[in-house]
Amino acid sequence: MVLFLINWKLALMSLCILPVIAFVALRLEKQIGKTFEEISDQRALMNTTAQENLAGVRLVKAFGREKHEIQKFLDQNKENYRLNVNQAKIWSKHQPRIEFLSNLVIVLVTSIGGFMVIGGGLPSVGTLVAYTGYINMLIWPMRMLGWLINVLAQCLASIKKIDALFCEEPDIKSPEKPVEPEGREGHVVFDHVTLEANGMKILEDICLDAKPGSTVAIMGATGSGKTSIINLIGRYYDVTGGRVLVDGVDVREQNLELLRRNTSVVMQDVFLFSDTIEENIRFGSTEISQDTLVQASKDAHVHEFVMKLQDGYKTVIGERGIGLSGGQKQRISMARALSRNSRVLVFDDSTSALDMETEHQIQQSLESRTDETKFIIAHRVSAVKNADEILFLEDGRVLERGNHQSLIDRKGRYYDTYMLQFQGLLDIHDEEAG
Amino acid sequence: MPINNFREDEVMKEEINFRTIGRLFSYLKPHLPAVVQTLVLMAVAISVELFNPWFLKLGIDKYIANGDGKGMLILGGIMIVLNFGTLYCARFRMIKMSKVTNDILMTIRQQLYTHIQKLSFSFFDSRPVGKILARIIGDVNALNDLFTNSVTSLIPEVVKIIAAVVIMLLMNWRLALAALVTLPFMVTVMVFVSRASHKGWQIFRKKASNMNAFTHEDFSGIRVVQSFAAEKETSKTFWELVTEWRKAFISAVKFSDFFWPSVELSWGVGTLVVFSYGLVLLNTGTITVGLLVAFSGYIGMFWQPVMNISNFYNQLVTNITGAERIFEILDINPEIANRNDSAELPPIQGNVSFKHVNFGYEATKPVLKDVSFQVRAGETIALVGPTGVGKTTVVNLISRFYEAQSGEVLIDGHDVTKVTLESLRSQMGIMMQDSFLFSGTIRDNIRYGRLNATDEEVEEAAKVVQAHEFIGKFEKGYDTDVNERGARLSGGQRQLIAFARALLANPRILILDEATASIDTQTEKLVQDGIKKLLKGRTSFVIAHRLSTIQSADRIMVIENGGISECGTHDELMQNQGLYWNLFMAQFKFLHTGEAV
Ligand SMILES: Nc1ncnc2c1ncn2[C@@H]1O[C@H](COP(=O)(O)OP(=O)(O)OP(=O)(O)O)[C@@H](O)[C@H]1O
Ligand SMILES: Nc1ncnc2c1ncn2[C@@H]1O[C@H](COP(=O)(O)OP(=O)(O)OP(=O)(O)O)[C@@H](O)[C@H]1O
Ligand SMILES: [Mg+2]
Ligand SMILES: [Mg+2]
Repeated sequence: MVLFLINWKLALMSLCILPVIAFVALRLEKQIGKTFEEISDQRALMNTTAQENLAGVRLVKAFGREKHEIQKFLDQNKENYRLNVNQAKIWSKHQPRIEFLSNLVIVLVTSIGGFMVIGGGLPSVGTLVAYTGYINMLIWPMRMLGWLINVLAQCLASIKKIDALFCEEPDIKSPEKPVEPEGREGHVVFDHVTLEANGMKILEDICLDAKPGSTVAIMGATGSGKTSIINLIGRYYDVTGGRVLVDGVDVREQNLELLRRNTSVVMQDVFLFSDTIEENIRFGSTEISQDTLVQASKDAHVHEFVMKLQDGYKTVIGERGIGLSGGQKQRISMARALSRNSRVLVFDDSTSALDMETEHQIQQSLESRTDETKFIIAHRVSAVKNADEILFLEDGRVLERGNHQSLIDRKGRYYDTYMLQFQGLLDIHDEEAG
Repeated sequence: MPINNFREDEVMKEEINFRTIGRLFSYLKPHLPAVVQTLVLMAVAISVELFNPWFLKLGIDKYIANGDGKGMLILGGIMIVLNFGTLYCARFRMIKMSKVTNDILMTIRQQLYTHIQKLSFSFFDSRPVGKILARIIGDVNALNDLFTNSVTSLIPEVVKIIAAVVIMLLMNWRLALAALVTLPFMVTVMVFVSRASHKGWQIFRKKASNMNAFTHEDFSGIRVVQSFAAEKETSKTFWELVTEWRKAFISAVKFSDFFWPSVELSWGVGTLVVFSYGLVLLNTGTITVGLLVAFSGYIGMFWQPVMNISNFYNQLVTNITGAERIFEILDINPEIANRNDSAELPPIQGNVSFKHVNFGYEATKPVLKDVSFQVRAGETIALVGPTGVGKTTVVNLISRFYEAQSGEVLIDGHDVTKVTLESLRSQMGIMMQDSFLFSGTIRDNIRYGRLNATDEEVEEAAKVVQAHEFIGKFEKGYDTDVNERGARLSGGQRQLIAFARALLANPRILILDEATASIDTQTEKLVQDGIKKLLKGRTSFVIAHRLSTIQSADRIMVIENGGISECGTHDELMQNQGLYWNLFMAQFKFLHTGEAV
């Protein structure tokens, strides 16, 4: 305003340049914003590469692939360099321009203003000096504009990422009005369940009725759908046909958290955290008493080896349980499941790294737990034979079902597996008998 | 060896070490020409900038006041041209400097990464992945502005300071000393503050590292978290870590905020001292008023750069902790490395022997005690024994993931510690107990066994382990991404892919640690038949708990109490009626318990 009051012609002229500055700033925003997004993506990629490499470092070393990995990282490191220099190029293209234009305004105002003073268009030199002062005040924020845009563009690139995460809707959500079963007893029913994913049939027409306290064992070839079945109990996937009932209520109608708290799963791939053994078993839950903890550990045969460690339950283990043998890891993750007071227990191939003796002992302690419904996935006949019902799966269907004896009598796939596993033993048995 | 986890801070030395700073700036050395160019360009830009107001003054005073339109025009023209010139100077300088900085960052990062690849298992055993990652990414990024600013602010400011001091000394040395009297005060404050702030920033970085370790682990184990509905607990832990991190930031930043005020205070007091003392001198007639006024101008010229430098120093203290964490790792020597006299291991025949090997992951806790055995080329050896007894440990020593504390591990008579790691491991195929797959396609994962294998060879390996069939059922076949959402492989399928990968390596010694533990017996039988041909002439070590898996091995070694208690074929061991026999016969027990006999 003051500018126009002093001299509208000069004001108009200097204001002519301002849009040009704004234009340059906008161009900067557009180009640099894109680069920041690229940098952010690239950084994520570099992060992932490094992270995978570190997580799989034992494998890298086993195959002597260090050079390959270094090269892989170098490529990304170089790309990161390229993008960063690119960003600097864009920045250095526009920022000095803004600087130049700002200076130009002052020079122009001074020179033309000078002419005006000479020509008598402006009252005095003093007015001109004051005028340039005001112009400076106007220009200064324009100069800062470039910096501001630089910082903003960087934030924006990150915000876009975060936003995308927030917008991600979980496929499986707790229903708005969950139905709570009348009593949590661990009664699991599969009612003609089918599961499809990506057009692939994973499970077909599975029926199952696991009474509270009973044991259901699942066997079957690799990829036949064993894990998929038990994933449906805790509703990690939704069925595409039929329904899964836990304690009489469809899992889709139950509160997800309560449902999952009530099913304890020992996963096929053991995962332990870099924390104390005790924390790994408790896993954040403060409700577990010391007695329960020790009892669960004893049942899972963790107690005996933990007691041999110097720090006992306070021993810190490495990420993913480094510092423990394969079987020790499995047993800790079993103790974790057993220490929960839940009515459904699921063991997915969780004795595979145990010797038969230990497996047998764990099994006996499991059998003495009659409050829980147990699902056991295993490949060893010795691990499943005492179950109330054994399902033998093939390609997502139940091929054979029954208890051990009835399946042996049937002389089907279960019987074949039995024969393979106990071949030598049965020979001796026969010899002795004969 | 203590294991560090996400709850625990890493241990570090506390003092600022000037060697670290020196070491950091030694990275600038190869870029000296670029640095000099930058400085020259800066000098040009600064002088033009300084001239701008002067031109203005000239224009107003000389031309406008005199009504010289032509002179005015020329002056304006010169100014535009000069400013246009600086535009290019600035552009050139910025690009140059950014190249230097980014190049240094790239170098440091690559150096760190390369070094980490060389470190031994024990290094990785003792710290979470997230913390190592924090150093490669976060700590290196922390150095970003340091280099740019060191060149663009440190050097010119030092020049300005020196110039100001010299001028002041020349003008009046007594007054000059008076002006600088507060400098020692400022430096002392600075030293104390920087110590505290350095410690604060160290803690801050450690907390950041803890947080990184936690998020990394938490996301890798997200399925476990979900299955125990422990999301609340883990977000609580995360919140605690974030709070600690934030607190560390605030307390560190508090110290950093001392920098500015202490400089301003010294500046103000310094000026005050000069004027008071100047007044005294004026009264005695030693100096003129003009001198005093000019002098006060130079005080500003002195303190402004001091301010900028202290600012830079602040930044240095803040970020040097990143460099410390980087150098700390660079200074770790790999425990297991090639020695100077390491020879290439010639093509392996496959004889493996242990001579009085003693080993424990921690020296005080022996896992293997005085183990000796000999394996002839081409033999298939099965290792059995209760869990946690040391089976995996035995094969870890053969592939030299760890080194025996005493005794020798020999391959064809060569001590494994005396040959190069590459020549040793490139001839072995190791399938580890946890079948880790990299993200990427199935094909890439199998090919990791031998990088130059053709697609046919990859498929051949998959066929041998019975993986070809199920891979074929996937929509994208071998190009299925192993971690892709919605196309998860089953546990056994992953194991088979890892198995194919080990076979593809075409190893002379094959190590299978529970390679088929998650695979059903029928498939396992097929796999065994499949690899029989392949195994001919190769030595192999098989670890398994399912006794049916290992009955056909040439020899079975039973490990117990840190040593080998029995060794022989299935039949021999059965006749011996020792531990193996016991294990074997124990199956009766499993068969019969709970059954009506
Ligand atoms: N990286 C390690 N650091 C410290 N201790 C370890 C490490 N790896 C294994 N141990 C310990 O060494 C012992 C032997 O472990 P090892 O892995 O050799 O057992 P294993 O016979 O393979 O058992 P499993 O059949 O359960 O896999 C165990 O008590 C284990 O806790
Ligand atoms: N989300 C999914 N989308 C597509 N396919 C899937 C998905 N989850 C599993 N599969 C496929 O379904 C089949 C059954 O997988 P599942 O994990 O249930 O096998 P499994 O019987 O547990 O096998 P294993 O004994 O090897 O663990 C496999 O072929 C697997 O690749
Ligand atoms: Mg499975
Ligand atoms: Mg093992």
